Amino acid sequence: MGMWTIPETPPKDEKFSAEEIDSFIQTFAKEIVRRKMSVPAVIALEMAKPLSFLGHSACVVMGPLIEMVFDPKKIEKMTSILSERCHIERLLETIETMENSVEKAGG
Amino acid sequence: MLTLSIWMGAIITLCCFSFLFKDNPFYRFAEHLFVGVSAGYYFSAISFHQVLKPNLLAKLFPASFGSGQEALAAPELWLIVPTILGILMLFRLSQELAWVSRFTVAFVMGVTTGLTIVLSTHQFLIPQIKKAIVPLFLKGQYIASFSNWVLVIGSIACLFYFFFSTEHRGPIYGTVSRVGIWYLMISFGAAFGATVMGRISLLIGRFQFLLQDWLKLI
Amino acid sequence: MNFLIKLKDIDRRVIFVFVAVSVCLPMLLKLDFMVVPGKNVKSLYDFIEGLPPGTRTFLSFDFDPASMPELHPAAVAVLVHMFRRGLKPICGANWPVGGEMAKTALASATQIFQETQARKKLPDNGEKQKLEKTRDFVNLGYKPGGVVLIKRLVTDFLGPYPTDQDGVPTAGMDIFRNPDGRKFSISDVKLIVSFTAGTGGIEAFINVAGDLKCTMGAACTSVNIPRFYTYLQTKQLIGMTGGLPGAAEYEKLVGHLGPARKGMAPQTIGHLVIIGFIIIGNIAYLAEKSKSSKKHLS
Repeated sequence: MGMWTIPETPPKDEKFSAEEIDSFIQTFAKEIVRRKMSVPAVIALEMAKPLSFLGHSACVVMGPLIEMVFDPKKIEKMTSILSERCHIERLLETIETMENSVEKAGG
Repeated sequence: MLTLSIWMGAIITLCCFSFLFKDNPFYRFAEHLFVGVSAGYYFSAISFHQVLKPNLLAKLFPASFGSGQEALAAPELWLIVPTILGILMLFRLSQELAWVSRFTVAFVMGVTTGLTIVLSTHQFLIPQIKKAIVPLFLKGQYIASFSNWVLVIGSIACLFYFFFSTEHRGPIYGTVSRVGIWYLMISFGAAFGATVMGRISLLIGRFQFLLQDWLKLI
Repeated sequence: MNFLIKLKDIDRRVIFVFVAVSVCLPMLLKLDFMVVPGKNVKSLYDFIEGLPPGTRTFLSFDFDPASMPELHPAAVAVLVHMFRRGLKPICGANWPVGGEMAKTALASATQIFQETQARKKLPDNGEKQKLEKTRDFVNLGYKPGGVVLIKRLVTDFLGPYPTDQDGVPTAGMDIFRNPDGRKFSISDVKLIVSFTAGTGGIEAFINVAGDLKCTMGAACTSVNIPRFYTYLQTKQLIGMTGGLPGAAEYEKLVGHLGPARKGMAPQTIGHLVIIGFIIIGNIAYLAEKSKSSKKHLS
């Protein structure tokens, strides 16, 4: 996909299937909600959303080094999420949905 | 030349601002341009001309890369060791031989960790702990006493919160870690406020550029 | 009630327009708001004011163009103050583009210094001071290494810097010459100021503070203010200018109307607009909550 195409829905990733990305987003969101950090995480993600492509590029450049410390598969998935803003949007929605369900369960 | 650079700066600034309306090709052009120019600049102007050339090549091959007095100096052969360590990093490009690069990373991490642990303990951890050990009751100084209580309770509660080995439940552990969350939220609020201030400052910088240097309105 | 609830759904672009107008208008109307220097800025200023003329200082430019609107005015104000006091700043950088940032700041500061000198009335036999590169200031440029580099400066200051950013050998420079013929070392530097945009700035110097044994100050971006306040509390920093307001306070102290002071009116009005929207958002949230609870009760 070229730079002039702006996807409305998450594009098909060459490395990971939509299900794989989705389950990674779910795990990520679950950890944030579990630590009761939804509000700061949503604020941070909303602020960083416009710069996600820069984060993706930084992950590509620093990848070989980061992968020595963290799980390479997870880093690649994170890079895929950062490559498109609609993935970040989905992560935000997932955090908000999980947080609402936790609140309802608690209340 | 200056006019051209001002016009380019103004157009790219407007491309970036266009994202505020919605995601569009102009913004994408600006971000791709930024990544490309940054990569080119860092790898060529910084990594080669400011790092590799003066610190390695000019010292290892003074006759070819050195300038002035430097060109007449004797080669510093010990620099072959960091050169080899640097070359080992390139093995990351091969999947089978990627492990070779770990020697370099191990060396860098070892040195950094060794330095950081000792220095950080002396300069960051101990001074902060010292400053957090304060008297809780100061005769006649009610505000100072209250401030010290806030500091001590906050430090303990936040430490409790960051202990994830057990679940944050129970009358003591659950309550204290909940207080920790409140402290963290207040500190995030302060950080968020500072970030807003920073972002507004950057916006002011851009508007000063657009209105002063480009449009010459102020 | 419904109107209040509708406020929650204001299009974000409306907020952007309000913020843009609140920043733009005060600039066009040339509004000037009062700036009162704070305690931390004043203590840095007072320390520099108290240094005897001819003292060498080390300024580290640890930022890039992304933080220029906040840190460049602070750097210029500090440099102008140092030039006026007859101090000799040695500029370096732990960030790759820091050398260029130092070059730009030095160019602006020398220009402001010469302009104020030209306006100054001197006694009949007085001579206007002219700043000379390598004698009154020097830009050593970027060196990689961070903490390792700073540790090296302790043992051999000029070792990592055989030349300055323009390739001029540092060995023969007047700024590094000691009257007693002693080799220049870190003990000849009486103040270190880092213009820090993130990691690798003043914290790298604080890390080696035990070896440096030198007074330190900092100028940081707004985002870093909460982080660096802790070093003021432990007295590891003598003073600090935080963000654009900090730079404006320093400009006020040196009597220079620069971009930071000009930016204070847009900053204040911009903040008021954001506070206004936060209040509106909360009112809408509370209105919605009370409406839904009333629904539950009925």
